[in-house]
Amino acid sequence: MKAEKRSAPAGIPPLARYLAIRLGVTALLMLGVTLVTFILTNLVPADPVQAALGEQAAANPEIVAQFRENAGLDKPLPVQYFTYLGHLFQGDLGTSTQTRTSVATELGKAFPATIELAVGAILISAIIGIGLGLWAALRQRTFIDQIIRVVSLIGLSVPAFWMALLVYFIFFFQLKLFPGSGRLDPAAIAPPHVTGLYTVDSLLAGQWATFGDAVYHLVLPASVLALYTIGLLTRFSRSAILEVLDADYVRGARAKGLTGRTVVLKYVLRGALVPIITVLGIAFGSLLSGTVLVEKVYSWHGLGEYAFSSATKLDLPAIMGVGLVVGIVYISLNFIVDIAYGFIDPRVRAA
Amino acid sequence: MSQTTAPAQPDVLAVAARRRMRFPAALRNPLAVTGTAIIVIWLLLALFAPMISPADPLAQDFDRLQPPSAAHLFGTDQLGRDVLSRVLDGARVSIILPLLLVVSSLFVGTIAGSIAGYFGKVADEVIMRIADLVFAFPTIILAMVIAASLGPSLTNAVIAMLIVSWPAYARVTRSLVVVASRSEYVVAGRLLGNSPFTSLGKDILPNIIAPVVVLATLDVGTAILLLAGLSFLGLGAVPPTPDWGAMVSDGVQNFSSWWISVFPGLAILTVVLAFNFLGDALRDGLDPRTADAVKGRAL
Amino acid sequence: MSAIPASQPAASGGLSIRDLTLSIGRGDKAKHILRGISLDIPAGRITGLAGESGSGKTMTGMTVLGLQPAQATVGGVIEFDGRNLHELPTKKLNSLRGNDIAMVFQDPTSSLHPMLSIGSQLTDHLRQHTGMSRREALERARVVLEQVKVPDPAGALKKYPHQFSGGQLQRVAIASAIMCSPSVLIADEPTTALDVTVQAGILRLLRELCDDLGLAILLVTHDLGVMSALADTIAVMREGEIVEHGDRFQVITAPRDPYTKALIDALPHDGSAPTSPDSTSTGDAS
Repeated sequence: MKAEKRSAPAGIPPLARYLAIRLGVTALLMLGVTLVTFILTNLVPADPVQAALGEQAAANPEIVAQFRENAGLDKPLPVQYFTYLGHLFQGDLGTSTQTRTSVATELGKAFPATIELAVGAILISAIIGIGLGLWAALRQRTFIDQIIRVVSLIGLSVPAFWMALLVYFIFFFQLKLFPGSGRLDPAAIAPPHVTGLYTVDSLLAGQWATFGDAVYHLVLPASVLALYTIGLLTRFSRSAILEVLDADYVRGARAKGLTGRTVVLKYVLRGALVPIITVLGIAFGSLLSGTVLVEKVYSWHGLGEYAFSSATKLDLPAIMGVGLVVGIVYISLNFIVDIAYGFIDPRVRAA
Repeated sequence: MSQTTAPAQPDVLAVAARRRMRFPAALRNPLAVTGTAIIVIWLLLALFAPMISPADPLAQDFDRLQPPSAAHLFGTDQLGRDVLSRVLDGARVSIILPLLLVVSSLFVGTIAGSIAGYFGKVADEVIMRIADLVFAFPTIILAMVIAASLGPSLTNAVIAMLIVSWPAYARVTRSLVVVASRSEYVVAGRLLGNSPFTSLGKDILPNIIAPVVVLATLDVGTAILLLAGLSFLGLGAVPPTPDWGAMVSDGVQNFSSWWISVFPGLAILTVVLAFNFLGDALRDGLDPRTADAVKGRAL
Repeated sequence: MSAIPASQPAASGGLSIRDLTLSIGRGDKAKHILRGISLDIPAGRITGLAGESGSGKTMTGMTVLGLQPAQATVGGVIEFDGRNLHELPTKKLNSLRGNDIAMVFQDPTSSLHPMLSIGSQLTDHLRQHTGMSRREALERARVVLEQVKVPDPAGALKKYPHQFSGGQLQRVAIASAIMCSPSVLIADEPTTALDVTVQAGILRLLRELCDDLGLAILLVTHDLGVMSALADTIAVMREGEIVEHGDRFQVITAPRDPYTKALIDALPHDGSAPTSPDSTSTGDAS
């Protein structure tokens, strides 16, 4: 291998150029997401009018005619799409056929609850998953490596909605160890609204008891959600770390007489960080999906519960709203991951 | 290290042969053996479900919500149906359908990915940008959105799942095809006058099929979970069709009658775990150069 | 932490290897990688260890530092400072690694961590071995970078490996190796990964360090050209054994062993006169 000279192109700073490209891709993907929801809302359903109005209203020809005109369904498709986009930009995601309320308002209320749950779950899974992956990699091909492998595969195989029910039954209904529903004790008053995350808001307001209560309520649903991502992160960080353990620079670090701790924490983990962050992004996406299957069980009034009740009642505007929001969050997350690469790996900054 | 002489170019045929030979070796792994055994048992149960079921899975013949007993090993549900019979019969929908789905998305994805990777240019752009769009959503969210707009039914659930699952195969196949089509034996074949389709079908695909099959094995578990999830949401199997996801969903309303949901859930867990055991063991047996393509996907 | 402060000139001890064996596996299946190596690596001298790949020369270097594969069995004596290295407990050995015995690897682009700054990689072992403060350590790093002739040493500390050319990066790697003023330096193919044009500069640097600091250098390379230009004594390895050992003029001009003779005959030039590295090149460009 010959070491070559690398030079950054003159002009725009490389990091800025990198960010600009990633930002462009992100914007295009978001536009793509709106295209998908547009097609699914306006073209795919057998009768989009009925889907939008609900069965009762759709039976009334006057309402239907009025709706067609208002919604611009008589106009050509590209025009319809731009109208749709215009509404989205004004924060108009349509009206729920079930509750007759604005989907955007409902989502706005549900969003912080789900973010709180997903962040709690990702914290649990990052600590346990990366820890187990590291342990397995350092003990490669030993008994403990096999055990961790089986445990992580079980995590990947458990149906989240079933585990949610099981854990609810055992830890709440039978053992009464943890609260089984809601985000706070029914008697408690929500902390003053700043972020909508009760844990953060209660800390901001200095309400320790409320903070403790919010965390207490998080334990069961967040743990259930984390099972899959723990498995994912364990398997993935194990293989990423194994690759790094073979690297010359790890041999070099050991030859310098650094303690095992320093070698692992500074050299090995740093080297495996980029792939691990990538999979953290994927894991967060799967957590958002998981909330759809888990929140209902714990009466956690978030996106997942909203999606669940909308799906079971076929409330199409509401379902599309959830899809749109989750898609946009997911894309933004990938963008953040891309930015993180730039800060972690100096070579990306130069590329 | 001090290897300075270039390694001899490995004989392509020998490499390909070795790759095929590794599958049996990987199958001797205890995880693979356990996984295969469980899969075979479940497939047999699904096949012979009507013959071995103690009761009619649809008949509401019994007292409601009875806990497990000698008469009803898994108890009865909220409509007085035998849970064991429903679990056995549910295997047909909950295992066989995802299996067929994975085969179809493997087929669609591999073809799309091969076209994108081999011909490049416009075909590549169009196919891969569509794939990007699918990857812009978390899987079950997109499947849920599609299934909801198509209307709840098993067929629509499977269509939704097909739409969300083929891009994974397309991406992997594309990256493998791009690498393989640059290799010397493929170029040599083209220079000797092979048509693009001969080149793709005879020189390239046989050499990249192993990682794609491993991906598919890992994907069966994901597909089973996905279908169960859609059914749990009421967007898959329509009552009264026995389906494991829908059965767990029944348990949400009757959570104190734990047996309604525990047994179908265990069924999902065991069969998904079995496929993951097998897939994970097979992945270990992959050639390290191609294993990279599968590592990040469908863990 | 070590008892020896970094500033003390380390002219004293060299390294003495006696009957070193290394095998992997047990019984009939055991692969014997090293079959009884004996070699002196005295201070102020460059001891060359030559041989083709697979002869065990790299493994010899790694074993001195206790970095042999985990499943390997080691026998014999590696004497340093009156102690047998391979019988030292890991903790003791770790306090010698990088501190008293340092290593330079073949490819600096992979032996330095791509995501850590040069300053961080030059000082972490120094601080661990000596307990120096961050500022003191960075100041020492700047001095050492100047010593190995890296341009703009203060700026280099803030840079990352990919911002250097191969030759400059190998100088950085050498700086990292001599940060703690070791008495022994193991250089494993230090020029093999570099452009021919910068090899001479690196070789000259190693010579200077050997003379100025009184380092005992073990130069591992397959390249007899490099060897004849730099080493004071040359040992030739083949299949885990030393087949020839002696003064460089003697080994190059009048090899006793037929294998050594074959190696020398295979050199592109006539191989009769050892060339000096300090004649042509003015060092590598950055």
